[in-house]
Amino acid sequence: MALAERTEQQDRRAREHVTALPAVTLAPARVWPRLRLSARGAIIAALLVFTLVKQLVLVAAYPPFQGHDEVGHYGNLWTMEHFGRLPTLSDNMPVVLDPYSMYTLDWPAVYTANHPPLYYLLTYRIMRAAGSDAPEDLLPRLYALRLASILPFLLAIWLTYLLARVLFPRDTFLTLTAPAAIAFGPQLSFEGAIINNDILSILWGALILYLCAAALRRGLPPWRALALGVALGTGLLVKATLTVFLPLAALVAIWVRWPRPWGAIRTRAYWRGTLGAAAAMIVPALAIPAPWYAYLHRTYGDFSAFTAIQNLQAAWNVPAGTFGELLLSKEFHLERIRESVGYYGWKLIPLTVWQERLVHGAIILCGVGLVIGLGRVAWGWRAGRRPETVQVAGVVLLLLAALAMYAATIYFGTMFLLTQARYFFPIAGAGAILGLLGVRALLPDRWQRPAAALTIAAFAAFNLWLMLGSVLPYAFF
Amino acid sequence: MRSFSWRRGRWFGTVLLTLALTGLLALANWWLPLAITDFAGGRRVVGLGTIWETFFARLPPAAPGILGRAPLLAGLVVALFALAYIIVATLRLPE
Repeated sequence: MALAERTEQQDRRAREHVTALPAVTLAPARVWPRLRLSARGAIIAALLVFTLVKQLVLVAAYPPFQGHDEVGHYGNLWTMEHFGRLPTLSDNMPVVLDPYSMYTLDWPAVYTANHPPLYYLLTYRIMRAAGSDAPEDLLPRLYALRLASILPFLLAIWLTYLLARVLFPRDTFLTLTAPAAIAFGPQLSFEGAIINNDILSILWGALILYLCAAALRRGLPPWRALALGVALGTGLLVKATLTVFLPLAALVAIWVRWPRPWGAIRTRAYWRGTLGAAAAMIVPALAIPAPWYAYLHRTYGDFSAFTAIQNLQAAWNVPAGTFGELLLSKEFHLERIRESVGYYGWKLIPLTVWQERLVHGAIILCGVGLVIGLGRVAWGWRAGRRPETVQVAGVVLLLLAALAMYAATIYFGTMFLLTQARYFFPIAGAGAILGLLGVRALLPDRWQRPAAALTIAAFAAFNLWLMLGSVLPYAFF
Repeated sequence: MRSFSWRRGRWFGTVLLTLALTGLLALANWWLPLAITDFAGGRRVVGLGTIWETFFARLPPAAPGILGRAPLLAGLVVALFALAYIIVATLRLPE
């Protein structure tokens, strides 16, 4: 209770400095207070406006169907339109996509048919509204579907801001630079401008992490447990890789509902609250995705359709290596870094040597900062200066999420040659906060604001350097 | 007569600095040379203005209206202002 009161006071202090949007200064007295933005909120609003325009440019700039699996995802939607059902791996792509067949893996099969259906259900109406299935409407449909990816990207940026704010409410540097890292992440921006379900998995990853962090900070009443359960359940309808969040959310729930003091375990109120929260979380997390995974099992004989995919790709697909081999392979990790920052789709736009060196330098800086920060915390702990428990638990949560998702990416490589960095993009927000926590550890408190401005400017410059120096010239020169 | 308000003064200063930085960014966005990698992988140096001119001249005709020349040009101006505001407002955040 004391912690909740303290948090409310912190939130009130953070809201003290408010700024007005000129367009709403005449809003009625009741509406006005709800529309006021904190000073940091106004900066995030400006970041979202900038990102919206940047995404529009990317949507228009990138050549049709050259985003990774754009053809495949359109094939899913086309099958739903023509046969009134979800596609299977036995279905074929429409002939109209033949000119883009080089941007697929297993032409003419709809090789994305094993992807969960939520992305397709959400975008189906948008595709239909953009035109008919006539060949001349193919490109208007493509651009409409690409535009639809922008909104989830903007929401992911906003949720990263909320995630950073709920864990570090008084830290200006982290709350501003973490969402900027997402907004200016070149490959993340690309996901937010092409037809793909990865952008939804990035959004859902940010949402689940935010709800977990909010539970750590403010507790797990039944309504928040329900929200977390619905997010987990619908997440499994976005992409199977989000399964990684199930054990993490369970750990958070156990930590938050752990009886403190231990004697609380003997009270009826503790069990009523805990069992209510558990039911509110577990039931939707299992019930929402159950029909889809039952469908997969009925159609392919397992819950992932991996065996069917392996059979489909038997001619070219081999495991990239064993888990140990991939874990110890320097080239494997370097390739994931390249894919995280550049490449854009079918690896047609590589980074230059200098761009790679800059990225490596930034990663090393973050790593060194994290080690120094960890040492400083340990030293302070010995001297009796204990950090806030919620922040320690939150950082451990982000670290576990990042490690689990990266391990899942390696594991995928033990079955498929083409494991890729985008499989761990759902923890992009966690990665951004952890990396920037390293930079933050190197900064004195009084340098927070100039360092934040400099970091955001550096992110923007790097993103625009790639967009103007590589992406636009690739498409138009 | 209304007395001077530090908060209003602070807001006015932020707007002025944002406008000044927007102008600088717009100039840089037009005049700055940049080494580019073209479709064939060749490297050459061109002005940013040339890149934008080429982009606007070859916008996909099949794209919806929001991806037309006029909305994107207007958006570019707004985006430059937003970027300038992000940097200026971050520097001038209250302690």
